[in-house]
Amino acid sequence: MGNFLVWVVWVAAAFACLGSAVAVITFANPFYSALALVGNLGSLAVLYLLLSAEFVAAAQMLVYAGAVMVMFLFVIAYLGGRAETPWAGGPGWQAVAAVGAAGALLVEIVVAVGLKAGGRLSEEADVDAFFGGPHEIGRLFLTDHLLAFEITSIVLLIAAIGGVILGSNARSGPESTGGSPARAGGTRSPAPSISAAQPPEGEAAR
Amino acid sequence: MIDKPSVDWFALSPVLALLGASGIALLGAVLMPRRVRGPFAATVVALGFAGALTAAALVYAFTDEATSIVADAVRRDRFAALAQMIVAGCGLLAVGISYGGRRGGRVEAGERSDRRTASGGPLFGQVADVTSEYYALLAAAGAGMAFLVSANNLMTLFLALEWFSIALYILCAIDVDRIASLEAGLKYLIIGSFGSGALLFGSALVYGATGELGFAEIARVQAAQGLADDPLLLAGLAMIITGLAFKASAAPFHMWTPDVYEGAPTPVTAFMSAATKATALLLMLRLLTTAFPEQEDLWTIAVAVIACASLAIGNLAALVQRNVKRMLAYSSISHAGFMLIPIAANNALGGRALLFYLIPYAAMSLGAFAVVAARERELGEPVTLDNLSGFGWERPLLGIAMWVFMLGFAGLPLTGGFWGKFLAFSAAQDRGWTWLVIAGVAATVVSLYYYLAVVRAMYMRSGAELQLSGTASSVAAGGSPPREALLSLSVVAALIVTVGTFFAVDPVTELARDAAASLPF
Repeated sequence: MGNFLVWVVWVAAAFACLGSAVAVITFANPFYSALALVGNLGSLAVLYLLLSAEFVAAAQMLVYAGAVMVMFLFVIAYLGGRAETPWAGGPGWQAVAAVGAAGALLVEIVVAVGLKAGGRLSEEADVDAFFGGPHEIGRLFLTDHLLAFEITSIVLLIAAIGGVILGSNARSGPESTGGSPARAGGTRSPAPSISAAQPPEGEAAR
Repeated sequence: MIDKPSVDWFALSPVLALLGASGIALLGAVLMPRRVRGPFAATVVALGFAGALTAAALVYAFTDEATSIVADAVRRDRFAALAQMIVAGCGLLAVGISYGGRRGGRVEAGERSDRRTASGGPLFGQVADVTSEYYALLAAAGAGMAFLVSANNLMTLFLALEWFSIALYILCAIDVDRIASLEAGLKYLIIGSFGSGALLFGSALVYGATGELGFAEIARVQAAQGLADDPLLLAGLAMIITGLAFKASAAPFHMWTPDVYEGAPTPVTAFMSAATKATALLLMLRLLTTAFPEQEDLWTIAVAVIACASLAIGNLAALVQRNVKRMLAYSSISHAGFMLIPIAANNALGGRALLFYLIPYAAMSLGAFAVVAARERELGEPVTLDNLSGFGWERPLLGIAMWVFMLGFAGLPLTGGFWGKFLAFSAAQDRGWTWLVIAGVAATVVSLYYYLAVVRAMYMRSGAELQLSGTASSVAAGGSPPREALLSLSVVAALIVTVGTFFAVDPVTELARDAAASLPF
């Protein structure tokens, strides 16, 4: 019975994961895409739970579905989540080819996993009580993956510096001197020359 | 109590020198007076690269036996040390090329040619001074590359790849007042992320199949469990090769290269074309030979096919380019093809050939882009074959240097490019793949056309055309072209390496042989 329940949860989480992933890239409104991404991260966390990785599942919910996604939504709201029209004029040949290639890869991996694992997937792996716990993960961070753990912080630091550099330059744009809320939109607008060609009055006077 | 792994600080010293330089340069952005920030950061980062070069040379000298260090996360061997020396040398030259365009304060380089939008207005009124950050990121990217070449398991591999990639994404987009630069950054970010994603997915599949992350352990488990034909492992291997080919900009994974190389600031392009390609190819060699010896018959063919595709696409597309940066971008794709030939050969000679090839190639690539940068600063607009006319007479040193670099790219004697190609073809011949040698020779012949077109443009144009060329240039406006001692010095250094590797072929080959001996061929 317990096994059956696991199956039900697994199937539900797996389909929710796939469905929300497709939703992320098909929604026209970035706000909906971000919400779908929350669903994706959440269903992934359920899959992690089924794999006895409780700590990773909790971290996934707290860090990604919680903190990171809230930041995403803030940014989208801040920039004014304008709906893009990715499918305007029907899908181009590149989109069709991309879907085809992705489908081929999916089939390849499904076949590979099927061939490889066959019946073995239904067997339960034996993991000890500490598997996936914070104690064990912490130990790995300080032993086997010490260097990888340290590098991660460097990578994040570099990304943060990059964010500051690119962000600080956008802040010093002419529109910001006028305090106009449209200034961030200016960098994203499809034709920046249009907005930039008409600097605010004060800018022109200088 | 946890048994923490012992850390071999000496082996990590090249990476740490660069990280330290990066940190000091960043601190300088806060603590130093605005006037000296640029020179300070450039000096610190140049010292960092010089320190990394020295440290890597010391590691090379004091490492007889290859060992895995810090819980087997990285490898300490001569292969990594020589690769780190190449990366550090590239970084040193890149700082020299950058300095003329980035001294700090208000941006003064003519490189921001399309700073003004089509309608004539400035895109942004005031651009923040990011000179210190520029040099800091250059050092950080170099540190990531220096780390990547010593990676010994799939996790450090991926993290190091992201490390330098993120730094390069920002460096490409750092001229936020130029649309082309922003476009380059965004394109590189999206396509680079796709490549990283493929690499990560492939790593996950390989881990799933073998249960190991370390390169040597993956090979051991395969041999022990007879996993050579395991479909999961093969799918993973294919995706890992794809991910690395993206970074090495080998066809058909090259689509980002021309646009990014054209749009990124020229010194960054120079650094990317030399160092990124070198690290990606060296890591590919290490990974394939160490972790996948069982699939040797499969990946050698796959790499050979990618090499042929790169040779064909790179050379044919370069023929029709007028913009010199785009032409050099396609040329770099074709050189990825040349350097994949020794990887496909999968023998000790191939390892030696790749390491040797990279040294003159990196010098030529940096030198050629440096000359382009000099012309760009002079003209204030993108360099094309048309406005390059007469350049050889105006600036004799840079003209002759460019001439040598072009001949070196084509693989003609009196440059190290000749021996590089010679060794690469010998490696393929050693394996018995004459068809690969023929493909390489045919590509070389085709490439002569566009390399010589640059030389022709620089020297052999009529006086009437010369007058036309300078319409936008400061020269035409009566000013003298900016003389940049550091840029000229970098070009001279690249020139010395390019020509030096031809005459000093024996000692350099010995270096490469000792380094390649660390890999299990």
